[in-house]
Amino acid sequence: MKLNRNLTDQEILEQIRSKTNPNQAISQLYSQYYGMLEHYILQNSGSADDAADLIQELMLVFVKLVSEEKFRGEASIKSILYSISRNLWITELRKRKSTSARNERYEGEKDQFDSNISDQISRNENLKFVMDQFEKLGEKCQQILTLFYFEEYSMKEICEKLDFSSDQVLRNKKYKCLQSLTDQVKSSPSLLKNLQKALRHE
Amino acid sequence: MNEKYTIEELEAYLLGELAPDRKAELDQKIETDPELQEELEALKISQEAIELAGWKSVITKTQKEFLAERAEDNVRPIQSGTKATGFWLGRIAASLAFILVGALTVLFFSVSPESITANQLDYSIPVLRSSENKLEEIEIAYQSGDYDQVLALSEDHSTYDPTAYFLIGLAHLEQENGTKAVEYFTKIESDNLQKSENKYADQVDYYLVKAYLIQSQPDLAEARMVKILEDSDHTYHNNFNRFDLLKVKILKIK
Repeated sequence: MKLNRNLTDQEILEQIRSKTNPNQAISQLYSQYYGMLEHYILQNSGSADDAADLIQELMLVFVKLVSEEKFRGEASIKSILYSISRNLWITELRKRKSTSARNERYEGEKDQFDSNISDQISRNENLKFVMDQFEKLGEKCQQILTLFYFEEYSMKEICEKLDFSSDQVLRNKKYKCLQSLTDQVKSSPSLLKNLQKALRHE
Repeated sequence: MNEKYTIEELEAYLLGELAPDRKAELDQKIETDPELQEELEALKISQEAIELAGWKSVITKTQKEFLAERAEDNVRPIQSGTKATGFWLGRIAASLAFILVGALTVLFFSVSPESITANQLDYSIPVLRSSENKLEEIEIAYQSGDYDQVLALSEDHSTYDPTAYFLIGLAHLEQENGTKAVEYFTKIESDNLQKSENKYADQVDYYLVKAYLIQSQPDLAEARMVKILEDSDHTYHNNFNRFDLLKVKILKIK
């Protein structure tokens, strides 16, 4: 008889850090907090579609903060998600050049935000370009790189999974794919500069 | 790409897997070579973006599923009340009847063998015996929750012993093997009958309910439940109620 209980905050953080069962952790975050986060956006001049876009971005910021151990459960997950959503939504409203009155109201609140969150949001913003380039690589390249860097499969496992004739053939293909992505990164000097700056800041 | 270092070497460098002499050489070069610095940064950024793209795919999929499920739950049209007033008592009665039918319908579709036995008590061995070889091993294995071990030991346990048979039956029950559980429990019953004894009689009734439900034999489960409910001195008399009995009856119809 299996227990179908909710994970604790610490269990969610551990699953994200170790990537043991990322789907379960993310699913629980959605079922527990989506309503709250959506409500916040709806209450602050946003639409349900705005909320859906923002929550997706927010989750990416959250997993980065967790996997880089910038958030280790010092506060509850609920409160960190709420802070990220406020920060992201202010950035979004600014982009949309909302009324000055609204911006002023948020400006006062923004000073209190944790700088880690703001840094991660701008870093993710810069990484979006590279992620877009990654998604333009061929399907095989995406598969190999995802299995290696995200799923953390060994080269041997990838070789078997994707039916490569030898480890060396796979290795060559992997570096070719990676090289093509790094070339894209280097082709955007402003992006590289922004991200280098952020890396040094770390 | 820089001429002296392959992307493979740069990656090994980032992972700290480069040979010490090559690493020292590269450390020195990085200090003075902006092109190499750029190459390394581009590599780090690419790896980070690939990992983030992996997360994005998990998140996008989860969000899609979550929103689809939520939309499905929300599609429940609410009828506006435009009917004429009057006949309030009739309406209330109709509402109550509707609720009752609704509740029974929900019960009908939601009732499952697990819903009846979900809160069933785990059997605890009162006192651990101190002697007797195989039986003691079975008791220890059962107490530590190692049901595989209980079953492995049961293969060597040819002589009948009510305690051993009861624990073996429970181990089968834990592994959702209703048939074997029934076999062991009913052996205790038949032995009791032969010897005019009453060993584990109440426990056998109680756990047979679950065993029969696992075997999809709600009629037999019902008979045991009725026996327990009708006997106020039965050890497990208070562990079932009429609602549980109703659920078993529903299972018989389903």
